[in-house]
Amino acid sequence: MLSDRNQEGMEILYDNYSSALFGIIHRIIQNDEIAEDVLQETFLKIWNNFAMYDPAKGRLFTWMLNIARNMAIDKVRSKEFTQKQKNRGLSDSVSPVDFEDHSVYNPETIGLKEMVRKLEPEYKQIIDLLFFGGYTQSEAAEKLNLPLGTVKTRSRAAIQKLRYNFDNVRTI
Amino acid sequence: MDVKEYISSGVLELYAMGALSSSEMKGVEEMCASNSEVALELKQVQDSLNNYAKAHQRNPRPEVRSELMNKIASTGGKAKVVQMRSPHELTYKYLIAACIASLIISTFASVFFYQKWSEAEDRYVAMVNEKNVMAQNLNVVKYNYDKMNHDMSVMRDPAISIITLRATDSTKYYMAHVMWNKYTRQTFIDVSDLPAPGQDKQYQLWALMGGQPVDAGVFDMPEEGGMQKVKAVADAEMWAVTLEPKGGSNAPTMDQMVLMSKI
Repeated sequence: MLSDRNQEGMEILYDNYSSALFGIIHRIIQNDEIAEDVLQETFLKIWNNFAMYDPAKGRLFTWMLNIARNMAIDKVRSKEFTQKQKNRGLSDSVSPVDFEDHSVYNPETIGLKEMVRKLEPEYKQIIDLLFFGGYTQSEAAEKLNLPLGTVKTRSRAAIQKLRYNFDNVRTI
Repeated sequence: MDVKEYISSGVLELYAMGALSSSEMKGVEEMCASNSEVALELKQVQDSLNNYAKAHQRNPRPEVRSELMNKIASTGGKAKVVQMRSPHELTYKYLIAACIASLIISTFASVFFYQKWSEAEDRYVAMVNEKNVMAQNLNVVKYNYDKMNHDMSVMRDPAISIITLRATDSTKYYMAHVMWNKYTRQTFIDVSDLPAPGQDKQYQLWALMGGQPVDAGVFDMPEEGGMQKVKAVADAEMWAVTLEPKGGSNAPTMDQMVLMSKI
């Protein structure tokens, strides 16, 4: 569909994935306006680089999610962004997930959110740092004051737990 | 490393969360390409993260969609996108095509110029040989010319006497001429017809004055013929040629007289 690079395909893609991508961009940026800019930039990048997506290497959503995540993290680290944040007097730390306005009310995501809520704080923390914070393994180890190996094994355990939780949601 | 150990190490999770360096990422990608179990595990890890991301789902304002679609439409849709994604690929393709083309052209050019060069080399060698032959011929001609010129100058001197010597045996047609300048005393002999003298023999010219033979020198039978200088002779009334042992004799061997001038 999108490999034809027609605009209709782009609309379908947007309708299917914009809220998921916007969710994580917003989670990283924590600002509606900037997050919406980054969402647009993300879709433009997806549009322009669609030929680079290789289905053999993974799911489309995984590919798009990584683009969105990288763009959001780049934005957070940009000079322009830190300047704005300073002016607004907001903290730059990764704050807890909020499920307020604009949230999508469908049974599946409610279930997913429930599972995330159930995740142990130490697991959530490591995923937030690495996945949303863009920390490297060693940066996370330093931040959490943990040995490098522990960051690795805890990452493994955290995602195993996520998987377990999600699998249980599905089977309910 | 054992596959199970690799999977449980947590490296795939770090990869999926983007927490690895690019070289570490490359290692994971190579591992996934070569091991389907690892690849499957990575996919499941990514699915978990996808779900985690979806759990944060949030709707952007509807205006964002229309703004984005306008931007995409203004990039010119299809055509523009094709242009945007391909310049690098195209450049490389053109570069490679240009490289191959120039390689082929230069190969053909090399062969062509090598052949030309070989031909030129052959012609050059032939010309050098020809030149050497010409130079040799010219030397021969020059030598002959010099000799003739010299002979002519001797002959043109009014003081020269040309004496014809004929065979003593009247049945033979042997003949020679003696050119003698009575002032300068230079003496030459020009053999027109004489048999070869034999291995250990040589012809010798004698000048006779008052019945006394005076040695005028031995001479050979040069292939090119013409005048040969012999010994200077002060005075002569008659000339004779005898066949003598090699090196000549002090006195002529009378019974070996082959040529004689008339008185």
